[in-house]
Amino acid sequence: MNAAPWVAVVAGLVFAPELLHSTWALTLLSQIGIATIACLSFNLLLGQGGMLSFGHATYTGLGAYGAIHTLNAARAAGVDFPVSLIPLAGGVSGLLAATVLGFLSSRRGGTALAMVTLGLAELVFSVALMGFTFFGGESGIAGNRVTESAPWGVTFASPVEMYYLITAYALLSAVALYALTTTPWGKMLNAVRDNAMRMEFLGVNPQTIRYRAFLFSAFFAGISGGLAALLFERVTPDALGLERSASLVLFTYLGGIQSFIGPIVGAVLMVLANVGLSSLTPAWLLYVGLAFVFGVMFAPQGLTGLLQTAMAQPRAFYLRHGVILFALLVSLGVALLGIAALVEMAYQLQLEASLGSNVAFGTFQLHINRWQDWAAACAIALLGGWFFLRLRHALIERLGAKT
Amino acid sequence: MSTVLELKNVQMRFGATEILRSIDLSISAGERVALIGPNGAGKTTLFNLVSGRFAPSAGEVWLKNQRIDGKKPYAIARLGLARSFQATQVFSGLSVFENLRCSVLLGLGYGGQWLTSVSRLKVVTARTEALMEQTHLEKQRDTLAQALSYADQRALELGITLGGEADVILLDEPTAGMSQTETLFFLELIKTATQGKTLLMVEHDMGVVFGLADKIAVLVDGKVLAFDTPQAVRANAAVQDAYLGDFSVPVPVSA
Amino acid sequence: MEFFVFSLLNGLSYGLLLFLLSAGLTVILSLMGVLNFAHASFYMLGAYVGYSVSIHAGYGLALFAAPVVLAVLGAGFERWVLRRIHAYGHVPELLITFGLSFLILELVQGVWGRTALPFHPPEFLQGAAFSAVKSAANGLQWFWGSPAAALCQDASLALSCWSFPAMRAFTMLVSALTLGALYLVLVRTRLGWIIQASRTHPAMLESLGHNVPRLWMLVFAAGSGLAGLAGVIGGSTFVTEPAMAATVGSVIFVVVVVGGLGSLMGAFWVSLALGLLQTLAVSFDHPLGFGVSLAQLAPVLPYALMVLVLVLRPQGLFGAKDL
Repeated sequence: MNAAPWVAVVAGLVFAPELLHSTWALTLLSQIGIATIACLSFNLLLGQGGMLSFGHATYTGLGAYGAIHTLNAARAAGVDFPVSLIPLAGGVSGLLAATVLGFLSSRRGGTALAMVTLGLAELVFSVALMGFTFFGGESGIAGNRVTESAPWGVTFASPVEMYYLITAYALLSAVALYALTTTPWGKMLNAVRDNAMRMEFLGVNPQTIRYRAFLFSAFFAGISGGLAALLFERVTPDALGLERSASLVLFTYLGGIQSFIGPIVGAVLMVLANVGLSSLTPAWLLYVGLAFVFGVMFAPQGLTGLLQTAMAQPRAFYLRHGVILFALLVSLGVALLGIAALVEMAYQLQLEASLGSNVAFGTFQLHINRWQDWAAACAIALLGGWFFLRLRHALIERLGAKT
Repeated sequence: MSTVLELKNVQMRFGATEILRSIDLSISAGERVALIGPNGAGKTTLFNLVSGRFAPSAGEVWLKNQRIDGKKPYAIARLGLARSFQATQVFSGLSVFENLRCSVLLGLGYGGQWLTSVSRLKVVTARTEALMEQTHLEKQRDTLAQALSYADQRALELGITLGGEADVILLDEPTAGMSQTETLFFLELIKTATQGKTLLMVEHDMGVVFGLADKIAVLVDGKVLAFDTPQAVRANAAVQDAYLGDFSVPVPVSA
Repeated sequence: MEFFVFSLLNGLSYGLLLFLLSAGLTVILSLMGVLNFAHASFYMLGAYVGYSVSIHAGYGLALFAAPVVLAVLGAGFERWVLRRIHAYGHVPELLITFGLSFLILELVQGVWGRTALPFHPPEFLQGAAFSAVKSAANGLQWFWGSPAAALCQDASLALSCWSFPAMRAFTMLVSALTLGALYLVLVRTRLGWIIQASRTHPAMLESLGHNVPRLWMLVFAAGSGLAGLAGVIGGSTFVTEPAMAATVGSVIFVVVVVGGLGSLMGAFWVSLALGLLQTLAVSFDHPLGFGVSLAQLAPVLPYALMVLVLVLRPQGLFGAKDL
């Protein structure tokens, strides 16, 4: 494994506060750090173990609750529990939850496992909404991470300090999770993913392997939750919700489940979509959904896989086919713009009553009551799409003829 | 000679269909037994029963003086029994090296270990590489299992079965679909790899059978028609009628 | 006693609706090996489509239009999307149907908005099918339809009033008829036998000249249509809102896991059991201590049952043992 890019990444992360001078950017990076741990832990199940869990937020959420309760309990008891270790309390909470929930989830594999994780997630979420003091009802549980005693002058009041804490945990977790994949157990997990039946006949009980995967995964998920609890200083039942679990599935997959860094890319996409895209358009979830569906159909290795394939092509490939590839990308872009325009206008139909009949689209204003705008968007989408399909056909023919 | 694998009055029924009627078989340690018989006689069912895929409808299966019928496959495998499959069952997303390393890891007892990296386990790497060479797959070290040719996949299948250092080995038609040269190679491989171990092998290739087996068990219509040395079985009239017909004895394949 | 009867009937009607939904899911699962995560989304879409059709062209037409629309959508999805994914394996299949459910949720919210819709059954189904009134003077009396309003409002006249909503009776009727038809098709017709055969011997069937892919499209379409029908009924009986897919979806997945993946009998018994359990829990509403009442526990009951079954019998009540 080439070390140079990683050194650069770590250096970049360490010096980011100096280079960026923006609290907003730091918060973004902090959220990405938290999401990275969550997605990496999720991929231990999906990518490494072939286990599609629809309830991963249960572990991040329970970790968050465990962490914030530990924080509050320590404060109340006057114990000087270091804030920097609170995420570990979250990890332990996740681990404890997995001893029971993970056991139930690993009884079966495949489709049944997916359904069971969903059912268990619903169970926990329903219980959380029942109003027990542990979950704090709709407003959740609040906490205060700022310490009074300041070891080495660190009180965790500033975003910079939180950023470094999160980054440290993210790096350590990534290293640990990667190391796990290189162990004999990690290799067994991959084998169970590929052929659980064969493993049974080699002397391995797939349930034991899967159970341990849940334990490891939940521990790191709990750390992620604990960090989130510290960052936002509040945990609500939403943290256990199915939207959160779905989000983990969607974005980890989009990032790429077949490589180790795929989930990291997915985490970046997740935060950018949640923070950036959501403020640009009300249709952002639709776009994410569409990207996901097309990803499953045409790009099962995710964005990382696409980039890796692209980078693996020899330069000669690009010299030969550069023009057609460029045209492909342009036509795809045009088609997507047309589709996006249609989607934005369609969504505006719903919002017309409150927000008027124009929707901003880049530098344009689209008028939903002007048929010309609709026709134009349609035409652009169709034109782009037609060109894309023709060019794709031509490229496939070319590649076929070459070999 | 101690009995290593024993079937006592084993019966297997699927719904109303009887596959195995009453099987009594006793295999001693170090014996190499070929299980022959027409298609549908119940050979793979017998394998499934012994390896734990399902429990017999009646009867007992004993492995190394322990009763194993009804036990889970992994429990039986841990007692030292390994089996190969007629329909190749490999780890499609892993490379040849990784496939073989799996069974080597398990054979050496590293199964659940999560504290060291595999690259540090020199013994494992050495044993896996030896296994790769033994199965003539060293040139395909990094090829994904799903990308291998049929013969290479069968070699990998065999390698996975042999890699775990089991001392009771069940092979289900290991040379099916092989060319002459490939069959010869497989025969030699099986011979060396099962030296000193107990082998039960389903085979249709009579050349392989006569070249390898100490004893032949003939399974016809769910019952063991004969269980004897190759010469005795060859001469057995009932067996000739039921299965072998009046074939001319092939020259046993040998190196 | 009357309380029990009416609660039982309510529970049965809900249970039958659950079975109507999970039957389609189970048939698709056992035939094609695909667990359609979007099945509950089809249910929701059926309700919304039914709503739109009903406000323009009447409820009766909605009952026919919604299943048809969903059947066409299902067929299209199977033909152009699912079939392509089938070769990749079970996890991608689950993911694509999950993605579809996500998309349908967004589309529904985009087109019809995020609030609950006033999807009401037609006039003649809005009252009660029959009622019972217990009064000090006349004891227990049974009525067709609703009792006279005056009778129930005056506490001195009536001790308790019970009524069974006509819409619920209608639900039971439609569910029973549909399921009966489904049973007859599967067990008594040639098509049904072919479908049953394609479950275990698709290659054999194809070499006999049957078009198995088209069969799958047909089955998927039928299952989706069933979900659409259940949606129209469920949407007008209970509620039509974006959350309905998630709520009922989780329950039918529990039904399928507890009943045993691919078992229609299992789905039947568990649907009824859950329907009764949840309805009775809400009706009895006994405080259980810890500040929790039985009614509050009702949403959790299906999952608690699932946990119990997983511990005692992981393959489900009627399921086959597997990995």
